[in-house]
Amino acid sequence: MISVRSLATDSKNQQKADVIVAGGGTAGIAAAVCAARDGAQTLLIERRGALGGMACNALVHTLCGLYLLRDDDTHPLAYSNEGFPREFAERLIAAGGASSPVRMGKLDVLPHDPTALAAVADNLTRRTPNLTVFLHTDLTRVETAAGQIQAVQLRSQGCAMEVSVKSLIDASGDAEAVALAGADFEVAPTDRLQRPAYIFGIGGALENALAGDARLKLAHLISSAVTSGHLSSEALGVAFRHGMGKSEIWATLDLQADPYDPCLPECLSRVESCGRRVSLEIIRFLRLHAPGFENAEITRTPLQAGIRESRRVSGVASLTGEDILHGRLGENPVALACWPLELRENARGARLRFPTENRPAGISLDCLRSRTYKNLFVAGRCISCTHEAQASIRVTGTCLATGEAAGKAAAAFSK
Amino acid sequence: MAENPAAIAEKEAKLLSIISSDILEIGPEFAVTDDLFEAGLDSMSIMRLLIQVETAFGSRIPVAQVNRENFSTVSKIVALIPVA
Repeated sequence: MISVRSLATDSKNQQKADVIVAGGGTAGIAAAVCAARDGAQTLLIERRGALGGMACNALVHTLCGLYLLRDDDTHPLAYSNEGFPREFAERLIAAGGASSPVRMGKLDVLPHDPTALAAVADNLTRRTPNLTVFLHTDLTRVETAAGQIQAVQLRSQGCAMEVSVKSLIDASGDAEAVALAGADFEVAPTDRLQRPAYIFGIGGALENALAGDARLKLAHLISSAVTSGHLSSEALGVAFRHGMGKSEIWATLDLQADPYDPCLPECLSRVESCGRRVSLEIIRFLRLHAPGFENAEITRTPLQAGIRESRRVSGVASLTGEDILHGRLGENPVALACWPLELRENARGARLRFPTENRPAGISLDCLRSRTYKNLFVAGRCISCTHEAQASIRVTGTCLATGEAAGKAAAAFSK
Repeated sequence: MAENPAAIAEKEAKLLSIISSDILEIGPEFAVTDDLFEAGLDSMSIMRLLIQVETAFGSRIPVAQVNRENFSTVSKIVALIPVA
């Protein structure tokens, strides 16, 4: 066991924290900062070397669900969640890590730079009293007794440490703490799970490489190459979009990945290797055949494929797709879901289902509480909801909001 | 030589059926003159559309004719398909 100076110890000289947040994505950042601000001694652990989760490590490059839906841009743009989500977006903009909201079809999103998002999170967490961040740290065991989480075991660089805890927030995206604790969870059937995406950055293309009808002509080039056997069929899942500046292009490659089970390492390994292989095929093809891409190269590769859905906790209550589609606020919502159902059950593009009159849906605290352990909270894409509702609440803006709510609730529970 | 209206209508019905079953979420009320981009057609779904057109009609639409205007409705796409 190693000891960590930044953590307090109890009477038995065991290290302790009021709140541990497992997973440093947008939900975990929000949960940890908000719990610490409410006075809880908080430890945020993250497996990889950067905070931001999908919005950094998987190179997701737009924050979605930050703004209320609107029919058109004659209506004013308004944040859907005024608390931490707005604060975080404004910090990101102030730091130059995001520019300004962009209208994409019927949706407003905030394009951001993945590395800058992690740096903003570093800065914010470092300046937050009561908060300790451990990167390169994994949750390996959750100890329970008398219907509550008692302690967790962590591992980093071959060293194990045990920390007693008053409440635990699972912001892992995959409900890992839930699974380790033996708490109840659900997973959609494999053929219905939202498919993963392998995102990579392209530099060196001409600024007009995507201008006018260029995207459609690229689609023609790629589909012809797939038909003639010059590109793998997985290339049909690719879409191109400009980054914050015109000089960078993001390629998002949706993968079918059958048989798909994002909780199995063999499946994840196959997804990562397929994404790498096809991304290289695509860039070689573009350099040879696509106008404006003659000098293009891959400038950013993800640390992991983007996972959209895996386990969901079984909570005290569960949000449904109907709740989203009817814009049901419910009693005492702690966060608002403002993104349509974005179904990606295959690698053939999104099917969007919008709520009635663009109304936001309320997420209750009971959707963030495990029904198995009363001091186990969940934030982000693995909260308690149906498969359909998850297609809305998984986006980063909503993750920031459920993170804030879970952080405050866990801090209050720990007092 | 211009194609006869019955043949055009048949192609339009066939393409509409392909789009509704495999490409886009469109209801039975969707018309051959309705805007496909409004209904969600994008650069990813157009790749599958191009492949399906080639499979169903035995000919490929040339890249020079691929633009937003030409692909905005089922009728306009059918007009691009070379007469066999």
